[in-house]
Amino acid sequence: MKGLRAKKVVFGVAWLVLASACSKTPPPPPDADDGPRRVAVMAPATAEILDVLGVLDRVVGIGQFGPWPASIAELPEVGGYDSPNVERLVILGTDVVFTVKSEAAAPAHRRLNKLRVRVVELDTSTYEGVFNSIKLLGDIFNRGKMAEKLAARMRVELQDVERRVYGVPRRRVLFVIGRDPEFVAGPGSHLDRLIEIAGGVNIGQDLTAPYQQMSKESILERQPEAIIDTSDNRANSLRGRQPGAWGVWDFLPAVKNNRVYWIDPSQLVIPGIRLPHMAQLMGKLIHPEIFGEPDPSDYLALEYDRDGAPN
Amino acid sequence: MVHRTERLTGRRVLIVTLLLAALLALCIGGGIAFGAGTVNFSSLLPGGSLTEVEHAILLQVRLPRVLAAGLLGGALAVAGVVFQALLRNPLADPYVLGVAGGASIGGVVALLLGLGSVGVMGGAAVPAFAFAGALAALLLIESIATVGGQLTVYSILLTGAIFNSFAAALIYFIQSVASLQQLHEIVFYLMGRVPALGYQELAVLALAIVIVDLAVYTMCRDYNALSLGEEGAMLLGVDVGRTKRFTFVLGSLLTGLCVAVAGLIGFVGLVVPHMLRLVIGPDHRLLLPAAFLGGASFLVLADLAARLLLVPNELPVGVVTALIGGPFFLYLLRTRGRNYAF
Amino acid sequence: MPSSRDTPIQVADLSFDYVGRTVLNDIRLSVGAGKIVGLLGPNGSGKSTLLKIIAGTLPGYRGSVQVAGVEVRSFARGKLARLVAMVQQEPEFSFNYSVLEIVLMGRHPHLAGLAFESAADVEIAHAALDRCGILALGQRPIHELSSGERQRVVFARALAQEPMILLLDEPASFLDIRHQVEIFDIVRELAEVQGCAVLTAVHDLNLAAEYFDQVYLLSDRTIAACGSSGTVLNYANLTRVFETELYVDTNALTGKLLIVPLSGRSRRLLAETRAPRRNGGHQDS
Repeated sequence: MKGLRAKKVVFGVAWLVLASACSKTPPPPPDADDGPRRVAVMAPATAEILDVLGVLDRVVGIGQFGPWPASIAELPEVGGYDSPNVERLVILGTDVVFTVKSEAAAPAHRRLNKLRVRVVELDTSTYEGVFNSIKLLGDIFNRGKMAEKLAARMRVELQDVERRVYGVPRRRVLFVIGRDPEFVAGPGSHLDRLIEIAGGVNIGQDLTAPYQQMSKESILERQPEAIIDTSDNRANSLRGRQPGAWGVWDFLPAVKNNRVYWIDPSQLVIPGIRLPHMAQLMGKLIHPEIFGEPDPSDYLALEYDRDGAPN
Repeated sequence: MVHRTERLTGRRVLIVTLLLAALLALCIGGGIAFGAGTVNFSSLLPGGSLTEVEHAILLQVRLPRVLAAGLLGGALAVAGVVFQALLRNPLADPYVLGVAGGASIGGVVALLLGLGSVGVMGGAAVPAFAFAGALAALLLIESIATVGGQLTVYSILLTGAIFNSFAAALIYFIQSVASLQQLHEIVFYLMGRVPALGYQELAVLALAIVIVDLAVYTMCRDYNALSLGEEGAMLLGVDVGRTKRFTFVLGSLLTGLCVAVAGLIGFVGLVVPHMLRLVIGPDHRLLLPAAFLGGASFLVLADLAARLLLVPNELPVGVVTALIGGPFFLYLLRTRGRNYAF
Repeated sequence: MPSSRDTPIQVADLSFDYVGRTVLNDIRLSVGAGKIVGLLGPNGSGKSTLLKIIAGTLPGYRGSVQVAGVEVRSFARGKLARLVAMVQQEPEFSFNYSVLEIVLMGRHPHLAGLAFESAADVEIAHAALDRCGILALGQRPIHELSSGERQRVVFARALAQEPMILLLDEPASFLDIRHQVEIFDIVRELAEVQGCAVLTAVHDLNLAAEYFDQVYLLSDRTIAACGSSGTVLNYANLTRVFETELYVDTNALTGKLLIVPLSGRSRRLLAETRAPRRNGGHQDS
């Protein structure tokens, strides 16, 4: 029972972040010079990269995720990342499935391989994983140059953020994924890395997992100077720069100095090619005096226009 | 083994109760003294003063949490004693039986219907639904799982497994309809944790638990007689039907209340009454108050372990009680099961 | 109709159905104060059911069952338990109480609310234990006892209840012959000295002949014969009701009946010795 439940918690967290793993699959020899013709994507972050590489039109099936990018939103669904629909994938004549590593889906992945559908498990949930995925996808579609350019541009933008906080005293940051009990960003998460890039130090960095429960006493004792709370994704949830429920602890520097932010999780919790944008947003939250105030739209759920680019 | 020497007297009940109360005070002291945050207790001496952070950690985080753990542990142990007396089987713990599972289903349904949030002040809806779920589960267990009037170990395991796995399966469904924060709350809720309650909420909880416990206590001699079987109890003048009905309701109230506030904390009602019976005997006039104090001590300590083992991380206390209670349950099943109506 | 004072148990026109099946039909029975009355009959003839109805645990009967002049089903449970004690055939002990604690439970109907047993209650329990020869077992946990010892504990508990009516359902089935005699000597003393009305189901016909003032023979859900044990317990009644061959003689010491079961081999022996003489007598001598 407990095991089951623990597993479900893992699923729950995975659902928040949409993945975990690394991409050790060697680049497959392209069956044409131009890479696979018919592909399925199980995670939105992968679709975004394919979009930049100009191969979004190869997508014939999508997993269960939000309505972005819009141009593929109407395509047939082929199951969740942990429960791919093997039959549908075969009927759609899929060459490659881009998904994330999942124990639950491992048997289905083996079946797909037997049926000559290549399964590529990408890790788009961590900072390094995003760059690895970009490189791997570039290789698979024979668009290595394009991928390199994308990665280089992202790195430049990230370094730009890092440069702006160079020498500025780091602020202690608490990044909240869920409240009651407090579930926070820990080491190994892209959030931990983004906080560091944006001139902060994650007070949960000595936890033992990327996302983990943290003792309330430890939170209070570590005196966060900025609190970023993405615990709720409901449309009517509290948004903006205000203490909210954290106001109870009025002695915390974050509360005293008005640096408690209530943000929709879609802004920061799911990584991908938007990492530089996320780093900038993180900068605005941790050091508004350097990066400027966040826009009102920065607090709200991401919306995508018809072309699939984030607004 | 300290075996009772003569008859049970009020004096003996008083002495044992006071001893256990002292134990509980010790546990509460430990629960307050230790935690993830550091508090310099020397500043409590005259002339010293606590910092704002220490003050908050001590009075707004640690103390209410220790008190909540005590109340919940006491209530769960009493619920265990009550179910064991009623079903005449020492393995009948609210969690093992599936009554807690039924309550959690009720509670989660109330959450999903948007009728309130977890916690006493979240409104009466969650406790009410949890109570209804507990009662429904108990009636179902009573009606389908008794063979020859007595609950067999196999039927206990079976109904428990069904209800608890059903409760866990609910998560799959919830993932598709709940918001992130709801999902988060429900996941942790089903793992069992001592909630962060305010003092006003604690007072409401304490009042409810004390009232139910006192009502249960009025039937303590009937529970003794029930150990001779339903017919045996009737022959001693117990109105068995009435006792059963009241106990069903009161036991479900206790379970529903605990589950509504804290989720699924398992095995407290199994481990504590069993240990106590070995030391002080099975007489319910002593066992009931002892179970409350013993259960309170047990959960305060289990929660202390949950808070301290992985600082700054924190374990759900349900994980700690299951780590202790699971093996204990298997041991009981293996060594004592044969004595208790297979 | 005899008065309720002299005849604490009066059953008339009693029928009882269990899951659509008639278990007892048209039972008429009475037990006088100070009398020991036996219920005899083959397995499943309804002896236990009849005892449970009188004890008030099966209220769904038809007809009249009066205890001390009051209809059983209209009794308050506690009040009935102060008058009637019953020793069950298969007692249950779900928790490991000590022997003394079990016997003290006999005081339950006499205690009010949350009270604890007084020193007087403990004295009564000790006396009951002593009477049953198990005073030394007082502090032993019930789960460590043998079946025979448990049966005596249950009997002691019934004594501690200080009943006016004692119902016994096979009270001696696990006991060796010495303890059987001891138990029934106590029963006789209860009846003769304290005026207790005793109704007891037994299988041992010799015990019945030795101790019972009156017997009811139950067969096929109803009473096949009743009367003083001397008249009812005879070869014809017993072989008819129990549907087996018996050797019935007179106990040379007491002048009461002596009943011995006959094995298949013995029955053949009997047939051979009888056949040439064809005397047809039922009272072999």
